[in-house]
Amino acid sequence: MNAQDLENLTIAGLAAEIKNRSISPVEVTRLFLERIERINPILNAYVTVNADIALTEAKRAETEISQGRYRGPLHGVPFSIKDNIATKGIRTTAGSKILDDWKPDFDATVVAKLKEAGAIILGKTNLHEWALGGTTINPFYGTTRNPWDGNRIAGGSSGGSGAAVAATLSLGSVGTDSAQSVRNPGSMCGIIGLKPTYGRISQYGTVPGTGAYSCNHTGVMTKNVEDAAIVLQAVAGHDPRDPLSADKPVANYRGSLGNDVKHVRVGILHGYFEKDMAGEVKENFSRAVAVLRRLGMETEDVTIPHMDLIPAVKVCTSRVENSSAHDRNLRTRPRDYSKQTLYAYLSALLVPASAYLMAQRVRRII
Amino acid sequence: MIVMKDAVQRLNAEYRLNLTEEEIEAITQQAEAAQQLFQKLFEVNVEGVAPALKIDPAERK
Repeated sequence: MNAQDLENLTIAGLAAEIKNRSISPVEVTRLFLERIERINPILNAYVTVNADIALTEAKRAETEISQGRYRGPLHGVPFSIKDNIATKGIRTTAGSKILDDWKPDFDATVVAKLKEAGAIILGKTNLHEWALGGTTINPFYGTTRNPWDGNRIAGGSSGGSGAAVAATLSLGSVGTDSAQSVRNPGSMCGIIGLKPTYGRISQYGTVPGTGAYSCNHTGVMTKNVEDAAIVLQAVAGHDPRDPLSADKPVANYRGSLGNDVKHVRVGILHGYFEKDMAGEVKENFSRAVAVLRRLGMETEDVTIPHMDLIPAVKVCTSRVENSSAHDRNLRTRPRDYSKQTLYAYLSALLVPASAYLMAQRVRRII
Repeated sequence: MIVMKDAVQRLNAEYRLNLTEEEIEAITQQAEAAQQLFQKLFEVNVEGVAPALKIDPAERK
């Protein structure tokens, strides 16, 4: 395998080669680290690269596999982690100045599960400051650029993860999503950005104040759907350390790929976003719906009441929950926030409790 | 209705933020924009609707 081969590599493809020992995790890790060294200065996808630990873990993986202790399709696979998810002994900044030297003494559950599955953590990816925004134009760690066009943004807040996967600087990444933060960079970078059902992946170890308590999700970012299924399989499941984690069985995601979808009912939402949709996006959306129909799915136009109130509910929920986690830092280190973020949090502190509660009631009927 | 500029000034004093007048104006504008949004929520009929997010692990099973 050479540097060129990496660009078409997927988790499923690499896993097969690692399993049959036609390539070693050390060799793969070295190739990825070299690629990061070459391309990351252009894209700024990573804020921290974890070369020494990654190589140590790759050697461990190689030894285990050579001794017949293959763990599964993530064993020896290069991975990245959004920098608001705690990684033991590795700096976790949340894209902020305030945490610029924080090295957690624990792993987030999602990171622990990835390590357990044998993934090699190459480093931490850039994000919008405190995950509060969709551009990954970060005043402290620089702007992440879109691998398809360096003059464009990669989206956000998990923009570094989006760019890293799209540019094959890792084969998978985990991000967080309260309001598009996985899906938006997934879309802008042309990769899969999966926001699973709330509680499906533990949030234990996500930095507080980088997502709303009641609507933040840990999400999966990969090059294709099969890879997303592989990763979700490894990281989903109940976590007693996260009180909002769902205590439900984990389905066989990869095994269900390719199943017959005839007569599956799909709601096609109307009445909210069409008027703002660009023509090209609208055409692609229609084509996607046509594909679902061709596969035998039954599509049905649906409307949801009060969709127009989503921005109000979002401001009163996401912003308020977020800002409450920043109270101490706002009192003691206000100048360590960018102005944009400082203003957003301070204005959110002025949303009255009655509006927050009303938003929680309206959430029930949207 | 809350007079947001007063509220921002109170916040400035309570949190000892030392905001400039320009910053107070900018935050006031954002707070007023949020206020315009959340006032719409009070026009919705939510009679008999309990707030979302009752944290009850048993309910999630």
